[in-house]
Amino acid sequence: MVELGFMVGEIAYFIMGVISVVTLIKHWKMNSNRMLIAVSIYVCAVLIRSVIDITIYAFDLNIDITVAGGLTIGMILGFILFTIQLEFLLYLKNLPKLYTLPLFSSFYIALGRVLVDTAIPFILYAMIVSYGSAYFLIKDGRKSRNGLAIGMGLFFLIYGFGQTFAMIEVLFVILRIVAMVALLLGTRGFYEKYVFVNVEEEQKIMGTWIAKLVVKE
Amino acid sequence: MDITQIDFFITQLGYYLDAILIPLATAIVGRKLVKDKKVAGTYNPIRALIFGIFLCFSALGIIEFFLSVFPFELPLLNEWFGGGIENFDLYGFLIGTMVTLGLTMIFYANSWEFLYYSAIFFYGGMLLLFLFTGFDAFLETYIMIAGAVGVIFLYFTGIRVKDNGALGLAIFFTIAFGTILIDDHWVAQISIIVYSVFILIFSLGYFKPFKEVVK
Repeated sequence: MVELGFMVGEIAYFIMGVISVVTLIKHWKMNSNRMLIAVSIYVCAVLIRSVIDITIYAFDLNIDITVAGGLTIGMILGFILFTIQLEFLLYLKNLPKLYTLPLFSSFYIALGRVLVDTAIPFILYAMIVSYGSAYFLIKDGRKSRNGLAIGMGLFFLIYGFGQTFAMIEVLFVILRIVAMVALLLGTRGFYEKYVFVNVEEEQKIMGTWIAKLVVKE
Repeated sequence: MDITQIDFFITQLGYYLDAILIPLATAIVGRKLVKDKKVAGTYNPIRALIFGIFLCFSALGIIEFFLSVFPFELPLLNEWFGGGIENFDLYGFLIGTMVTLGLTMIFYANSWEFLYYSAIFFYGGMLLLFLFTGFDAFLETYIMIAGAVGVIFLYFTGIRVKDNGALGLAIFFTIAFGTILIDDHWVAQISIIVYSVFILIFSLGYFKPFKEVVK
């Protein structure tokens, strides 16, 4: 029963992800912004992981096989996602000199996991990548009033928080869904419409309101 | 003078040249680096990398001198130094750093921006992995491959962009790595003398096969 609940949650997560990608591609067709393609590739990578999880829940498979030492298939997928995530952040921050850093850091942390049976470096890496990306994206998104950046930032923040609690499956699945909702809202323009207050517009309204009061008096 | 005396003399000369000429060449390159910084306002990355390579080589020369010529026993330094590229001891670390800086220089000289720090990241990762797990099985392979690739690309870069610095380092690396790879005592000893003299000529700026200097 619990597995069925997880599967429904995972399917909802997957559908929201697909909607986000479709919306992003639509926007990209209109304005040819390469950033939208980069975000789409990242979300697609996240969705591949989701397809594997749906298969696990549907057929009760345990494909989280240990490859070597303490390294599992799930962890390898995690490393691929973190690499893409970090790569995405470096692209956003326009730091081409650091483009090879995510590849090597993921490779050595994965190798370390094979040699030493401790998950602490993996958890630390996940936290640094997720929270670091979230911080920069939310900060930049607020500054430039970019809803997509805010959505991505919230996604990384909540998703990363979920990774930290990967042992508690219920919390992990719920946080992933919440993260995907935040991303979906970002791609649909929710934050621009309802979160960012247009200061100029508000001042105009205030101005009119005050003017009307003055005329009445 | 018999063959044993000649061997002793050449070996001792090699150690002395290593310990005197290479640090001298490093000081000359360092002085040029600081001078450049005063004029341009920033450090020239290529010159800084050459300085880094020379600094590592100086350290190697000085330590080898202390261990071989110095009349007192230095057991702790002897243990740390090692003497082979198979392990992450002081010798392996310094050779690895030199190779890494050589690769970085190639990336800078060719303006391959996304690769600028890649060799440093790869080597740094290897070093951190060693510090945390004691694993250093990649070091020897890395030094061999990176060294060979580095030397080939240094020749290629030196000839292609007519850069005296790259070509000079390519010749220097060829002789220096030759001493590690060739297992012949005489060739190694003569090579040490040759590269020590060459490095001094190079650092003084007399090695100019190309008249146009690429900065």
